[in-house]
Amino acid sequence: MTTASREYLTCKELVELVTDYLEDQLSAEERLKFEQHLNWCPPCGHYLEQMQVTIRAAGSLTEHNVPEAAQKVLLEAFRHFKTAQR
Amino acid sequence: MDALATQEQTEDFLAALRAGDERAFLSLVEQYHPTMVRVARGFVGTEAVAEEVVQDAWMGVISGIESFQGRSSLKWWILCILTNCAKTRGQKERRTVPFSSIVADGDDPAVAPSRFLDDSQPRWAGGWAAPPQVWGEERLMSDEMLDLVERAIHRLPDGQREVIVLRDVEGLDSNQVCSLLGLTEANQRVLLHRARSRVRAALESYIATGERGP
Amino acid sequence: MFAYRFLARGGLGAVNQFKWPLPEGSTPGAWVGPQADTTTLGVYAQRLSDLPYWVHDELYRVELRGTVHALSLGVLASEMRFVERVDGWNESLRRDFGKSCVERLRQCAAATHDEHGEPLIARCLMECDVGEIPQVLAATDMTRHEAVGNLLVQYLIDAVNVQNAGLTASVAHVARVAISECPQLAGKHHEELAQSQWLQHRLGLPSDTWQ
Repeated sequence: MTTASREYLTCKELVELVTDYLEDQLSAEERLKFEQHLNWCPPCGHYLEQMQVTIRAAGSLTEHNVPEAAQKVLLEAFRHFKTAQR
Repeated sequence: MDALATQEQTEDFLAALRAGDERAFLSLVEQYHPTMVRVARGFVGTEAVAEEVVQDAWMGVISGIESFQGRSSLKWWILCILTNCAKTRGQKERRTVPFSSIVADGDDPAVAPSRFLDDSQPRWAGGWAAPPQVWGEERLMSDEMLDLVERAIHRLPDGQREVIVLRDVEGLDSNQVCSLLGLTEANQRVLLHRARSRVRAALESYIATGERGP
Repeated sequence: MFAYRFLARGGLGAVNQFKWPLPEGSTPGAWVGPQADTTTLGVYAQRLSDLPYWVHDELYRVELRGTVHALSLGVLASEMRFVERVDGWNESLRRDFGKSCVERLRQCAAATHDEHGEPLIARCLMECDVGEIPQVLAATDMTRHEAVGNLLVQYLIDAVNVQNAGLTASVAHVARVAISECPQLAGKHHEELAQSQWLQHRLGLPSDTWQ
């Protein structure tokens, strides 16, 4: 096994692969190299965590309530349609 | 959310809707309206227009509920109607740019190149020049931070915003989003990557400087 | 088929913190498939030659079954179970491993200076305390020295700083990169082999049957 085949990812390359990694779209070899980079590079570990936090934050955006006015309009439309059907 | 979805799948609930049961309809509205507004907002210019798109979509739901077969989930069916309305409206406003052009749009690195050591460096070229820091989780789910994330998402270019809203905010999976938006898996992933990268950068910038951006 | 796997403290996956089923006494842990490594592709394991690339808190011997693919930095299997912990691997040995990487790099840097007519620098490098190398070198004038020798010394300083911070995996990486980027050392020194042999010897591990 030559040194060349063990070439490592740079941090700059890794940040472009983060989404592919999280989506499980890297090949087995790429994935292994990605994880190996994290083994020796704490800053990239922080970067990955930041991405994961960002995604969790997006998923936490709270529901807003349905404005009363909108509810009324929709209910009217629903009634009207049902009546018209009969 | 999932339990509710199951409930709405039941024959009883569908039958109630078809029979004109107003309580059933209102619970449907309560369940899906906020999601629909958020998704529509991903396609059109303003909150007001998004609300209009959602109204249109509800009309489609109301008139279509009779013939809804239940082969797909109610949520999926509603989102399809919504997306069609949103796309139509978006096109009318000449706001929707073909996705192919968005994706082809050259260089959009996840992190500013200046954050890394350049190739002229004798050691660690491509390594962090200004490394990312650890974020304290407690800060992060605060209202302030979530508000920042929401605004960062609103600032995204069209294609990126739609994908991140559907994937990360609304939790649809990759296949569903590709289907709704007419994207290939690879294109969807590029848009998602860019969107997430920008939102992360906005969060990082705020945490570092306290400045929120527009 | 047997191999190894480094885990984070508590038997957790290094990146995804997956809680691996660990052996209890002589009973191996349960067989685990692809989802454990958050990929549908399979589960990863390390051959003896891969170990230096994955240094972490705990080391285990693992058994593989199903399809096994050899990759550049490890192997991918359909299923894996943890057979026994390699007890010899602990905090103390880990620090020693880091020290050995620095030591080899120091010797290479000194030899390079010696060969290029800088025996004083060479002696200085070899005689000072390893932890003090950065300060000692800062006190010498490096600018007149031939570029490659200087580069090795810079890497040596990186290695010492990282070793002092307790980041063993990073030290091993610095050592490998430093040696591979010095053409004068090509053929004279194979750092990743030296690292793997050090681990094998100190842990009493059998030679790999992997190709």
